[in-house]
Amino acid sequence: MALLSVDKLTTSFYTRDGIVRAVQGISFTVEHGETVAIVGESGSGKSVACYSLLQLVPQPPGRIESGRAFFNGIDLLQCTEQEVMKYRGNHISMIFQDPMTSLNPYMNIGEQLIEPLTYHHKTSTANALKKAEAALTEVGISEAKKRLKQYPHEFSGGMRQRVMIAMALMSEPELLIADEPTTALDVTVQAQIFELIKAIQARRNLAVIFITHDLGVVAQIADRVLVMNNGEIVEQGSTRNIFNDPQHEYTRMLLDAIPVSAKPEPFRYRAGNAKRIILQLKDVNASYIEQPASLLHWQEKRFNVVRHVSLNLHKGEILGLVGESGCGKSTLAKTVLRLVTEDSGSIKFDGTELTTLSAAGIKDLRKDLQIIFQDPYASLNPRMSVYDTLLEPLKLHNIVAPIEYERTISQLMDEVGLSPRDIRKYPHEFSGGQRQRIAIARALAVRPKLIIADEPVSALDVTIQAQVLELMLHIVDKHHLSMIFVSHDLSVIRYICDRTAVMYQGEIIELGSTEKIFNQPQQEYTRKLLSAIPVPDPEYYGHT
Amino acid sequence: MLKFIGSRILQAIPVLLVVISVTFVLVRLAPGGPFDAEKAVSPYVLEKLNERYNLDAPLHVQFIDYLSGIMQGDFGPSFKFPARSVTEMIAAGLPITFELAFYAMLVALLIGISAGLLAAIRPNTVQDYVPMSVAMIGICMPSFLMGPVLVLVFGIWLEWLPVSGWGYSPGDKILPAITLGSTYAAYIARLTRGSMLEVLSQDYIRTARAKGLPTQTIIFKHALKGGLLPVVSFLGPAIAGLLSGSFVVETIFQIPGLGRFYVQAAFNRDYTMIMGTTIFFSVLIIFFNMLSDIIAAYLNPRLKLGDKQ
Repeated sequence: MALLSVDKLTTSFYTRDGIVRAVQGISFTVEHGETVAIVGESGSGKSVACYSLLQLVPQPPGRIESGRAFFNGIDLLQCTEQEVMKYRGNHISMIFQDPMTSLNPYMNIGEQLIEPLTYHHKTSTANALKKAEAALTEVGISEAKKRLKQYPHEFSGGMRQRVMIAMALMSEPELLIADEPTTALDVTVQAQIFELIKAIQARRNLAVIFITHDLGVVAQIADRVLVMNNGEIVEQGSTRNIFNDPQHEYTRMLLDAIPVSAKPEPFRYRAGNAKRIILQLKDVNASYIEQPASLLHWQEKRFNVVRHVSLNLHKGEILGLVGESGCGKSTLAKTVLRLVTEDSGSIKFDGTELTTLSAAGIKDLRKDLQIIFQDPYASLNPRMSVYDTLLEPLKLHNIVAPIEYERTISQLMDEVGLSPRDIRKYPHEFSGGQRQRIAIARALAVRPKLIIADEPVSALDVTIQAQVLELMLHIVDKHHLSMIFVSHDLSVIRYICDRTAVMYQGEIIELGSTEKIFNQPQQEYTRKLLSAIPVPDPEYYGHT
Repeated sequence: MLKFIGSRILQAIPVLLVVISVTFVLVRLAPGGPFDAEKAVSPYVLEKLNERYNLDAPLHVQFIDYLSGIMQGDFGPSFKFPARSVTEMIAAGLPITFELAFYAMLVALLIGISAGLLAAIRPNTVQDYVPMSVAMIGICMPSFLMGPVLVLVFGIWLEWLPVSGWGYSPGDKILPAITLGSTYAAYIARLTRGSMLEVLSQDYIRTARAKGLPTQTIIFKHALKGGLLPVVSFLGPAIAGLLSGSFVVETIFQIPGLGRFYVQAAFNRDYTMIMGTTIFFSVLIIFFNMLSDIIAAYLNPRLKLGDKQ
């Protein structure tokens, strides 16, 4: 008998704008010890489906309309809240996407770890703490006894996810539901977490449902795959079959949209005019001063985030800046934009020394130097229509005469692939990908020479990612722009960048053509980064 | 920690100096003086009185004299009640005002936090709307209206509680405490609701639910500590407000507390008494603000760590 067998599960949300059918009659099974990946883009219903099993969907507005979900022969959906509580965190555990926010900041790790035992098994606190210590050790956290008394903020992101895993395993569940557990983590940390889950799974014959949008992750970890789109399972099968012989059109589209880290597409080196240097950094150092976090301690702390960085950017070139979180890549970008003041060094942009620029000079600089941010949801003013958003830079920098405003804005919309008819709409009326297109249009409005793109596609689904990357390549070529492309995602870097700089602890440790970085990495760290990328190919991981 | 307290005390000195100077000038700008009474005093007596209390000296000399007096802990004699010093009078009124403020705070916290919790657990239902509407009324209704209404209902119509006095019967503290505390209860209810709603939508609450914890454990163990932080920060200003704002309630209920002295002193142009109570209240406000900052910091483990490093 299957461990979990879901039959025609339907969950809807009753919102002011009408009924959203998030999950529409899906059926699947999970066997003991098996790993099933549910893959789909945001809004496909993959998380809602799993939350419904444990009745964790907020009700209202959510409602589980129909269906059955047999877990060891008991229909979880027929259980009362009291009954289903006995399953949560006991027989079925969950880990979540963001370990930074999923642990209670006001309770120490020990208190949080023991709860599944003290509630479900009435274990004494002392015994539970002993088990918690063992669990922390099992997930690879040293000095577990001391760590139990610490609070979540004293752990790094990867460590917190380990704590979450330890907590999920405390009561020895039979099924673990992992909701995008590594999306918020760096690629090297992600690899470690996978190893850990796989090892524990083998040891305990644990079944895992892995919710993810990343096909690379799927290939690496899953036995079987369910592909979800618009609340329905459009295809399911063994990982190998899904990758090698996708039947459904949507599955094929997902596979096509993977930013080519493993696709045998030739590297492009389009360094338009390699002789002409548009941006020159010489021995730039920058530090970040941590403001006193509280009234109780106000020694400023200074972190040297960017150290001795020198690089040249040619006209018409896309330079990738890659590294894990905290490596200083965003700070370096901000230094060029004059949002962070460097400690020493020289930054020359198109012949002008930026480090000695006056405030007025910086304002003029903004015209030539634009930025696109990571989160298109947060970086557009929700109270300004697209027209106003695009009008602002035009007005501010006197780009065109007022009579031309309407026409220029329509052109911009057209150029980024949006309908000029939508210019009166507000940001919330657009999807994430469309919003990023608006952000690109805004950057283009002032006809800049250099665009700095800070993780511009990290918040987007893979199919959308591919489209936005295409658009960026197109505009760089068309307007002979130069671009610094900051990303933690090597597959995206490989797709779009001509040259790549690898940053580690504030320094550029390797810089060269993207092809060379990927094919002949010189530094140990670069090799480690590359090998940690999940490859969307099940054969690579020896699945049979 | 000590460093923090030390610097807050240092910061308080200029604040107090400004308070003292402004009050000193303002009370003297107000028309009339301490010895203007219904029955006129002869010019000779007035001159002697002014001489006796050093009121004939130039203003800046008086100011410096007064400051040096404070340094030695001497707030001077009361102009109106020459037999008693300001310090004595504050000492007499203070325990009563403190007791009243304490009960009022209890009322405010008890009612405020429970109403806020009720509302936050089921937002946008009757359980939310009723307490929050009552809270809105509580915020809008000034104590000089609330007090008489309560007296009318519970003291005169129902005859459950005494209408005034302090310490004569056990029940006479209830109405003043409710009158004084109700406004703060309303604020605390709204604060609690807002911050609990925010905390309850956090990811770590979802984690707690996924662990299979019962609702009351989630609310009291996982959510309340974070949810009450804004309330704790509000407590400092609230206690100071209760102490210094008690005069209306003290007047309504005939309570011989500090607040009444304060108002009487202002009417009487009792310069030293006004100065003394003002300085005293300023010190209280500064102290309670500091205290609530410290408590809030200690409730938050992230800030505690900062202290250790």
